[in-house]
Amino acid sequence: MTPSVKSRLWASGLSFALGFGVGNYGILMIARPDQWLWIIASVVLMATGAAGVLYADTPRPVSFWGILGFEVFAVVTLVPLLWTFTVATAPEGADPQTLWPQGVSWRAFDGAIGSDILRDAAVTSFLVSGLATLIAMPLAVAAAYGFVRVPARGKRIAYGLVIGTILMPVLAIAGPISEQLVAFGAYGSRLALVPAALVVTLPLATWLSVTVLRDVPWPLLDAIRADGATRRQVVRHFAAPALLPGLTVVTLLVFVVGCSDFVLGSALSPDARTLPLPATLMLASGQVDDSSAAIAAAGLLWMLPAVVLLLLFPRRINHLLGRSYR
Amino acid sequence: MRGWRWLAPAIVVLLAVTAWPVGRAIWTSLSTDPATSPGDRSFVGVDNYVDVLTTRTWWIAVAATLAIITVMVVLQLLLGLAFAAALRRMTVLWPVARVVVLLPFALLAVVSAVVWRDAVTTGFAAAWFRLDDLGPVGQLVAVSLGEVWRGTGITAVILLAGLLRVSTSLMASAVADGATAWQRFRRVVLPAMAPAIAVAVVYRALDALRMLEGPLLVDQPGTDVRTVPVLVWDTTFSRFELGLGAAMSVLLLVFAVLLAAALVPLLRVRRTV
Repeated sequence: MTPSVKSRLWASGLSFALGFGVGNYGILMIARPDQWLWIIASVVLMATGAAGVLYADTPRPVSFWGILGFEVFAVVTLVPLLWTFTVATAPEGADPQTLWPQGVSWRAFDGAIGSDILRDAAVTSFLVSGLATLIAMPLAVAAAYGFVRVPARGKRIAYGLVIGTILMPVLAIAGPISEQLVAFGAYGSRLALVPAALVVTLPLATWLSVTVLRDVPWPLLDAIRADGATRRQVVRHFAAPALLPGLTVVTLLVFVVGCSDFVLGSALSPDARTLPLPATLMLASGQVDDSSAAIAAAGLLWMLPAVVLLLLFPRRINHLLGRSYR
Repeated sequence: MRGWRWLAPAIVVLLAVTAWPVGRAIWTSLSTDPATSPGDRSFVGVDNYVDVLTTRTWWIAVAATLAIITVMVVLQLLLGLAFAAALRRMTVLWPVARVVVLLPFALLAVVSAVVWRDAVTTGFAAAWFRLDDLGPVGQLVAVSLGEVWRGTGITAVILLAGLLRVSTSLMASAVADGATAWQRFRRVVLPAMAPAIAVAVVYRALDALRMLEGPLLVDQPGTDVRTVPVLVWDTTFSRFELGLGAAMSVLLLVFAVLLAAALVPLLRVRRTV
């Protein structure tokens, strides 16, 4: 469907006006080197406007509202990430004041990789989240099978409990859990964090597994069973191709989310030795002066596994997160 | 009841890790229990709740939290809708957009809060827009905007999935019938993507309610405006007033339940199981 000429002209006009405003503000109010970023943004927006006018009366299937929206989207998403990078690479003792990095220094990254405290914290996070994910997944897949395939009375209430736990403010139960751990004498051990981490991992795993299992072609299973497939053939020709990819991504996502939990980690650990990474970073922000570079660097490194996951399975993750309400 | 064989393990574990602490919170909230002097525990009934509900600080916090939730959800919904509509048209760029859209969500909330605070206090935003000395409220706004930035991508993903359910043939006939842009949005797009909007709003609202890292980071002693989660955190884990903290925790849960109870019927969230 080709957009109308009028709609394209409106998009071009808005794009041009926006570019004009950005360019003027940039030249009058912004110091270099950021001024160049403003000028580039201005030129791109005004060029979009000009192209929109040129192509307005052509049958080409291109939407200038779409292009304008995508440009705004790219700026909004990437500017804070660039700023995080600038903070992380700031030279020692300097507060960066421009968005574009000046004098890139990698010492904060070196410090983050070499720091024993951060390494311990990362190990704690991985260990706790990994164990909690391993415990949660079998339970979650079984429950998801029950939710999707098997009739049961009170199923809706059970599903409501799962969704409720995902949306619940975990902070509200952090206090009681820590008291309980003190009562058990387990307060301050890394493994004591695992049951608490289930509050985060188990409902999320169940919810995402339900989404995966709902898309599985179940009539195929009934058909191959009716044809007399052995258990091994069912696994090989049905379970492996239909379930494995989706559930693998679910496992990895749940693990990543478990790793980024802040509330339970910092509420349930008495000292720095057993704090998971997000909680350690929070502690550092309060206690260490000039900690922003170290925190930003650690945060960017911590992003890497999630980014790798996103690069490996972009379609599946978007599908999983987007379609989960169906 | 065959289904319960599959459901029971997960539900039992889930109840053990959630219902048990909630019960314990209710029990603790009925007594004074300063962790600093464990011997002084005594049963006080609903006194803790009366204490919390009659202080000005609590109600300011509730008002501030509600205001933050409203602004955050509206911003995320508008931005998410605009981005989803743009991405819907730019199919060529999907391979890139799919990754970029979720990048902010991969950054830890603590890190995003730190860099957004720095941006408005000493960093580029302060220099660009001539901000000087924002104060705690300004910093709270900044970290909340950071959280909006983190959540907009996932909102756009949910809304884009909703937008893809809008029937193209229905849209083509609406155009052929001469429907205006507003009529097309109101009569064709909205009905198809209503479930996605409902889920996005409920999910983002409850996520905004539990936002803790940012407000905690910019919290300074003696500030007037604090959010409810920060109050709970401060009472339980800084001042160790366990009884009072538990009462606040229970009230925070009630807050979440009321918020969900208001939003779910309003948006007609569909049942999926």
